[in-house]
Amino acid sequence: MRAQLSDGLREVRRLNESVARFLQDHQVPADRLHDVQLVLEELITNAARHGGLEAGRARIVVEIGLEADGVRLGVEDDGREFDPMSTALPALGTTLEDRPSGGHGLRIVRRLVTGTTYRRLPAGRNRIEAIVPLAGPPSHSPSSSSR
Amino acid sequence: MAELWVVESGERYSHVAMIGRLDTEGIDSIETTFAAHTAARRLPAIVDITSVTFLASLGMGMLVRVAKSLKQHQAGMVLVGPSEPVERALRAAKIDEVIPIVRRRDEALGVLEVA
Repeated sequence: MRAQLSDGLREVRRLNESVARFLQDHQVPADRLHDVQLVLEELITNAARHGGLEAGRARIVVEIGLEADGVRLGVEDDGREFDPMSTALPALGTTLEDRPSGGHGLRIVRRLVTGTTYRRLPAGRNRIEAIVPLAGPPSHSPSSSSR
Repeated sequence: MAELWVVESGERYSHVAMIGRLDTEGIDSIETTFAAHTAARRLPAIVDITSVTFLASLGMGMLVRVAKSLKQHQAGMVLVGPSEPVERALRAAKIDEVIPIVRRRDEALGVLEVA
């Protein structure tokens, strides 16, 4: 399936409702459906926040396909260059007092997906592809980047 | 839309329950109420998330902010009853390292030492 969002975060819930229907139609287990929706939410949130996307003018394209090893996601946006897989994660600290309240999204994405690639497209767009595995606990795997 | 229910609001601890999707929209709808019934009371807090069907990182940030605020007043916070995918997301973000996660209310009371 393919969907286009022009209003960033405000459209994520509608997108995720469509994603749920698509994946349920293809008998994807509920826990993996949750992971797919979570990864999409986090990637789009990051694109909107770090890419400087303007509501109403941004263009985010989401592609979802089923493969033998999992659900393949493609997310493209026209924000500033931002590679969510190589960006340094904020330090967690050892105590609650030290713990930042933000920065969890990228950590979640990196734990739930595998086979990630990031590209800065010639048209000035970011494109990230990743797979949410259908079986077994996902673990972080090396990502690759290219420009 | 998410909802917040006040289960118990006594003199020893606060007990609230969250319901629904804690995505960007859901968080906007409960964050102020959540802080008012937990952080503002400065008492140990039980946060029942049994009926939370989706928890995004923004929601985890909200939980951390309230837990940190309570900690400043020597009060703890415990999460109770997450579904398997919600708990996996919490652990992926390593939230369990700073906010205890338990299965039942009586366990939460023990962790908070208010049983």
